[in-house]
Amino acid sequence: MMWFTRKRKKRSMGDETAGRQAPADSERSLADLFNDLRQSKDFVSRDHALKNMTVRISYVKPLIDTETMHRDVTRYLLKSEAATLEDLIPDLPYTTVIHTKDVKEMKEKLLRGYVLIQENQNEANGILLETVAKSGRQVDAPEVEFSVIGPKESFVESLEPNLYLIRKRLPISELRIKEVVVGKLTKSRIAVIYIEGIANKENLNTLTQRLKDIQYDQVIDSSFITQMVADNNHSPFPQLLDTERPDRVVSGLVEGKIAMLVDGSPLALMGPTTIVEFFSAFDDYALTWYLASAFRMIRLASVAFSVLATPLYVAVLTYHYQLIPKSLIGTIISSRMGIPFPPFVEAFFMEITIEVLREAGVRLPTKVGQTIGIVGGIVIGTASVQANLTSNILLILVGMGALASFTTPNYKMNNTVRLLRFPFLIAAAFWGLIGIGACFGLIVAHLLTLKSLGRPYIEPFFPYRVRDLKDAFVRLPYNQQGIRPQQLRPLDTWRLSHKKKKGRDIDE
Amino acid sequence: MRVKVPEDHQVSPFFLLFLFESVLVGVGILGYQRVLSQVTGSDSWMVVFIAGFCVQIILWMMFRLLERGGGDLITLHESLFGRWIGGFLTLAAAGYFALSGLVVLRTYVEIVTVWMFPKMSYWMLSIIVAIVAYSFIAGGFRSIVGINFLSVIYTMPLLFTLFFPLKNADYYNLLPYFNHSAADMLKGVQQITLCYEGFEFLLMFYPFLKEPKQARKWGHYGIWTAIFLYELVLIVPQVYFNEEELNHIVWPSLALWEIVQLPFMERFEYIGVTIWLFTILPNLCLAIWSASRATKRLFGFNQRVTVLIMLIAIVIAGYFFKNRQLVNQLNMTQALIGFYLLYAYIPILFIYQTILQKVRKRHGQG
Amino acid sequence: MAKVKAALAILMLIPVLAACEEPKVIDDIKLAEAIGYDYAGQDKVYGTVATPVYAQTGGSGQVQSMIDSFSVIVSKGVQDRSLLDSESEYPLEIGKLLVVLYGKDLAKRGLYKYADLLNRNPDIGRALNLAIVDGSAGDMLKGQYRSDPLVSIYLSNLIRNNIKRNFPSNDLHDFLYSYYGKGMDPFMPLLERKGDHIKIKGIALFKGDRYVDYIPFGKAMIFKMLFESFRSGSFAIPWKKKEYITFENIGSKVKYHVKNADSPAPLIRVDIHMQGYLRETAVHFTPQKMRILKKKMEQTLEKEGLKMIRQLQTLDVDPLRIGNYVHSYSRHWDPNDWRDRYKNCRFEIHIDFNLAHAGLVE
Repeated sequence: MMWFTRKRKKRSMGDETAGRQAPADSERSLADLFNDLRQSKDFVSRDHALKNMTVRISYVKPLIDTETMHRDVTRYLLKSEAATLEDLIPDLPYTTVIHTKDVKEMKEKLLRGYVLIQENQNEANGILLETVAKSGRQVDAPEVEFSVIGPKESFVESLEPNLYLIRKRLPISELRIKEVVVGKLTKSRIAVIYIEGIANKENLNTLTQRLKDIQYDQVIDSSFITQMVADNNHSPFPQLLDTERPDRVVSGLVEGKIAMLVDGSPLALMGPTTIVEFFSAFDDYALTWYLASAFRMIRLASVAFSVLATPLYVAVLTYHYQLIPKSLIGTIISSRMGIPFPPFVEAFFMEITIEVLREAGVRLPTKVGQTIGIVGGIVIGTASVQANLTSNILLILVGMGALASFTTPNYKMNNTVRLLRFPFLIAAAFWGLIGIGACFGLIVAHLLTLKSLGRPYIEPFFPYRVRDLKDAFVRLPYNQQGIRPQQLRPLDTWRLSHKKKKGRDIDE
Repeated sequence: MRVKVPEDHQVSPFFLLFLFESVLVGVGILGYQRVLSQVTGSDSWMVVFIAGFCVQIILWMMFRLLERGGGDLITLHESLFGRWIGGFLTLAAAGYFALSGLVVLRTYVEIVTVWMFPKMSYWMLSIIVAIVAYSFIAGGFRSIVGINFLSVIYTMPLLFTLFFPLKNADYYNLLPYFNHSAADMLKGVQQITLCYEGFEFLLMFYPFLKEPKQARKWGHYGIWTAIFLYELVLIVPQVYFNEEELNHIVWPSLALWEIVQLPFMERFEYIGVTIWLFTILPNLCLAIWSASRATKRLFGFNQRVTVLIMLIAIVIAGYFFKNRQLVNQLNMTQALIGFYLLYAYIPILFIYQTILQKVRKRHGQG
Repeated sequence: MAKVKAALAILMLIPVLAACEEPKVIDDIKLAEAIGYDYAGQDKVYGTVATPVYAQTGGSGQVQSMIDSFSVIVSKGVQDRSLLDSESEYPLEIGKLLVVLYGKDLAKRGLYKYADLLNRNPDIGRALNLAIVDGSAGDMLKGQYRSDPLVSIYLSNLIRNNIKRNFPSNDLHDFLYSYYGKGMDPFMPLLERKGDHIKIKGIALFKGDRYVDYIPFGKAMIFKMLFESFRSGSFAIPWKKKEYITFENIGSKVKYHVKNADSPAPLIRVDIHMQGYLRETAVHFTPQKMRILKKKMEQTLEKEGLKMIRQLQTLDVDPLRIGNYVHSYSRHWDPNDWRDRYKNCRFEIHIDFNLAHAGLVE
């Protein structure tokens, strides 16, 4: 309806409030900065007497690796015979030493785990050395987008290891990484990654512009960014592809997509994307093309089933009994016999029950979660049928629908799919099949206008591009995939050097 | 005088194929077999083709008109008749476009009430359809082309249902050939051209085509596809029902679905009528879009508002066509106006433009 | 903001719009699966409706069903639904009608009114079986049978499965087709009750919408052979005295050719290509005998076919749609003088029988 067609507006939410509450960004002098930092217990600043001079070393203790500091900084400082800061620099075993007078930079770096060394007489100057504590999670196997075959690495919560995971898969000089800092308070670093010569500059500009426009105090996770950068933030559909798999990011980059990594988030974002990509899994590329295509079709069919099964049940049983085949009608009637609710109420309660079960399962620890699933699914299901509260046919449909919805590889799309059935259900209860048709129409109208980074969201279908259909419903073999997806408008279209193979005759 | 449409609102000419196909296949295709069979019986299939040729000629004229005029109907009218008369003619055309929107909406609601929901109120159904239509029109011309395209895709599976009646087909019904007089045939041609309407919207959306020269080819293909469909949907009921029976059935295309039986579903017509929503939507959207675009170009009204007003107006207007006779009358009236618009007005415009250009050229030289 | 308001306004509309169509929840209606009509004196009809009643199963998965039928006498042409509703727990719905039976006495007086009702109502599908009952349709629907607790399912299966074998295909569509079509007459199965079974007695022949006579079931195969192409059914022909040989048909194709279509006595040639195999016999066959068998087979079928056509001509009914074939060969076909010409039509039947094999023994 109307909220679907709304144009993207520039976000200015939290602009003023963030400005008011944020600490004043205006440490005029170094003294103010030090006063400010000393308020916290974990700030260390002490004087060291060297051979020829005295320096002050300052750092935020939890952010730095003490061992590194002692090994690489203190030891060399004590050996040094320099008399000024400039002379001190060559004595240190660092290739990049930041020598600055800028108070703002000092503050920023101190808070990111650098050590500040100042001359006692001349405090305005300082050198910054990186001694960041490298604690964090080890690279682990993917949990959300699990795949049976293929790489078992997933992103972690720090930017550098994540960039390493991408870099090591793309050892080319054309790989570009740009950094943008977003978030008034969190100062989250966002790495924008693309391949020069493939990715379209227009997409890149759109994305960086939108990132720069973000004004918000906290960016904890990449999912914040998805919503802030989205073309239509009222849409139930995710408009940037999120993945925890570095291999998927790399294959996206190679196609000409632009990826984003947010420091502190284990999910990478990619765009522009299309709706079909949310339904493709890594396994689609690991198996032979017809197997992969068959499984992808099953996945798409199960999405349709999970959205439409209960609405159709409600519509047919409430208004269109003529549709039921004569051999099935006895089964359906006798399963409905004695149930006190109309089909809509029955179906609605069952759907809600499933959602409650799922919600409970997600919030609980894994092992308890499984128990809840079994208890909920089997006990409640059987009991409600025997108590004559639901028909067993509906129970099968709801169960199948829930199961089918979980085949969607992408978690965000998975949520969308599960939510979509409720408007359909309500429309079916009121207007039968016509209601379902109308509801479908509204969703199609919304999808037709939806865009991902300015590119059409349902691209291979509309605008219709036959070339991009090779990786939509089916995945054709790799030698047919010679052209990069046209939706991304890549600068370099061909991914294969295309030589035509001659068809060989028998016995040649 | 050229109308400039920003490129990202334009569509590639290839879509004209789908635009014309889906626009021609509207509510008319559901019931034309009866009317046609009453006039020309077993020779009807020839009539469909002959009428197809006429349509192609008109389409050719339309393309020539627009190419020479370099814009849409409004620029055409203005350059040929001046501002006031031209504007008045455009307004009349806008009225006709809105009327064809009304016909589509009212007929669909009539079909749904007869087949599926005999007790459902007119208001409810028409408002639902209007809301869906609005959501498409609000997305702009590209979105309308989208639903055009998708409607062709969605209705493609319906073609398979035509195999079911063929099991009981009696092909002798197509015999004998050439059993009707030329006068009958002409009458038949006129009857069928009443259904071949909807491509007149081209007069409004022509500037939205990316390469208009290329579009011509696709336009003609689109019409041929539609004619092929009409032919198919004519022959299948003709071999399934016999002539006398066909004369009694109001919507033969829908009646065919009654016998489609799948293991998991019987009585396909309920699904069919629902899917048909997607074949009438392109017509409705394009009609209202054309009408509102005309008023926008004339008076500079905000199109969002005019679309809303027009939709509300046709929903209310449809209420007054309370029974089948009135609906049929409405259909006939609109079809007749369309007939004169396409087969009289367009040729006149074409000739007038040719003469005017010749005269102007001579004056320019002299 | 304005849009949010508009969206809210639409949401508010939903309950207003929703209050209109009355739902027909499947367990809150009674499905009439079979209807029977009987003659009950001048201008009166005795209507019977059979609806299934399903027991509450409580998740056991078993479908327990029995038939419930009730009858009412109404005036001709009135739909008997409102009166029947007074006897029914839930409103009656006819959207899943499977079988409609007509008493023989009623059928003799014309069925058009009842068939028109079925044609007009959009609730009723076209794949519906009609049949004539030798006796009372009401009694047949009220009876108890061994095979299936639901008489509607029993009847529908009985007719449909026979259509797959020896009985010519026939449903509401075929009836209406032959009824409305010029140069053809409808036919239907003729049913008879035999204790706790129902039996197809034969093919009930109509002239217009009136029942005239019937062809016994034993000859149905011959009728089907002339009527349509099919790939099933079996038939027996006599071989010497008291010996019969049974054939299984695996493909029979019929084609009509008309000569002198506009003359008072058109010549109609029926070409039938048939393929079959030997199914049951007590006779031992050598290859020579096989050839004789084929000849004998063709001759018998041709003779039987001609006999049947002659019978139809004397009855002045045209269920084989001969008139339609002549019509498609003719430019000036008039339904009125066709009736006279039909009696004078000359027929030739050519049967080409191909004996595919004689079973596993030679």
